[in-house]
Amino acid sequence: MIKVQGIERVFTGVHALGPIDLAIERGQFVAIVGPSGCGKSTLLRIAAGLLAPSAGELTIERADPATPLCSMVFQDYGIFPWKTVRANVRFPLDLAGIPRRRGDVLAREWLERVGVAGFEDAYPATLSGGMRQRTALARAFVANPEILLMDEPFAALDAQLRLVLQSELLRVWEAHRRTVLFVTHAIDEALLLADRIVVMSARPGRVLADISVPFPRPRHREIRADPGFGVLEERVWNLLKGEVEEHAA
Amino acid sequence: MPPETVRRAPGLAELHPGRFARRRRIATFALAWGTPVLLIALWESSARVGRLDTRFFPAPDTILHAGIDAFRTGVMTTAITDTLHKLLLGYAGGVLAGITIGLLLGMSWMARAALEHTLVALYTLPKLALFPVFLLIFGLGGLPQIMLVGVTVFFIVVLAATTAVLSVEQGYRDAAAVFGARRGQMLRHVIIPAAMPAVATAIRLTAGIAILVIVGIEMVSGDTGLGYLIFQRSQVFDPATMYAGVIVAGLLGVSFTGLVSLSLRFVVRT
Repeated sequence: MIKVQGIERVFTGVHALGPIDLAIERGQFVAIVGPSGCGKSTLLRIAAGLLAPSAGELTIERADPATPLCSMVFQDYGIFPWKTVRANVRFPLDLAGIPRRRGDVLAREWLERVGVAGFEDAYPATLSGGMRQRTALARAFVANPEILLMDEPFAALDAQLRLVLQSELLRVWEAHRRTVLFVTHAIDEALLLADRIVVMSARPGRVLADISVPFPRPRHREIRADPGFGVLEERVWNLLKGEVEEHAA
Repeated sequence: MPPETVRRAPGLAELHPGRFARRRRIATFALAWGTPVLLIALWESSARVGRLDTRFFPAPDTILHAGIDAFRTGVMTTAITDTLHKLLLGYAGGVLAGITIGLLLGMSWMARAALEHTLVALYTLPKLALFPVFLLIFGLGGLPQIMLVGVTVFFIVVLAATTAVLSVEQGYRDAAAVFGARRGQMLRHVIIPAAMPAVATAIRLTAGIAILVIVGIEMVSGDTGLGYLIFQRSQVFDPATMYAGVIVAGLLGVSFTGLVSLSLRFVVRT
């Protein structure tokens, strides 16, 4: 369980985020949407421990302190160009001191699960953007972390690939559930993937609305055709519209 | 104006790509080797017909024979091994110290705060001006020359390595930090491989500079090495052996920098 209490962040005089209060239950898939610059990535970085809040507190109650705390999938710069696909996926296991042979087996399993089998010895530069993000997903899952943080992981992909990768993530996550914080610009992506959508305001980012997504699991791409999908999409867009327009004006 | 048809059609390169590529390869080869061969032939013939003063500019075949003689008597071989010995020690020491201190400076703000400004100030100082000090500290012989090469190389490598570490993308550091990488793990898995290409450039660059420094300092100090041989032969009016020494020094430089580049290729993936 993650508890966010009065978190704020100021960057050299610019009030970027908060105050924010949020409680996230274990195993929940939470999407965070908001206009550019609203501090949603900042919130994620605070949760990851990459950045300290200027005020407030974020606490994480751990189910099993022996397992790794979190993994993160980045929009880019996530996977290392100097490591092969296999070594990239094995990386968190190497850090944890797991023997290389065992690490290779686990890495292979996850690469198969995300559809990158057969490219283990390739370097990321030779892979397409989609393959690279699949590799990043495998690396995030292989460590078996309690929390999965995703910072617009599919934003750099073309529209069709994004659909494919969203389905892959759904499939993998539904089989291996854990707490997810997923930052995105795309409302439809948030609706398809998440149990709950936190809508944030323009800078300084605050919680505008906390919407639960009612569609049953396992979910498929087809839920986009559900009339409820359009209604929710419209509702989130109406919340965001004012923020985006105000910000752009 | 009369009407005209613009035609776009395959040319020789498209119709016979194999033949075209072969022809291009042969032409490139001929031109690359033709230039130096022509220059040497011109030099040789001008010397023979008396257009060049052979007291200062002996013909290439005179130089060749002087060089062979120098090898036969062992003068040249001794000079090469002396230069090589000093070069390798100074260069290796400078590179290793530069990388080590550079990584330290890049990783620790404390080390940077304490050393960076001093190093930058010393960097701009001409190392040759320090040579008399080295003579005072390390005495005569090879050691001050080795130190001069080492110090010259060190300053270039250390600053390149520091900059390389500092410019490693934050995203890569973050990716490792999220997984809980400790300092040593960060160094091994992220910092060193990410900084390696820029450091390799400095290592390659300083190989040429090291040759320059060692041959140069041998001319003005001590009585060993190729630089000494070249300078001393010009003093005793033996230009043919002097030119042979210059050519050997050039070949040594080419093969040394080539060898450094080649071995870097095994270390750095590009």
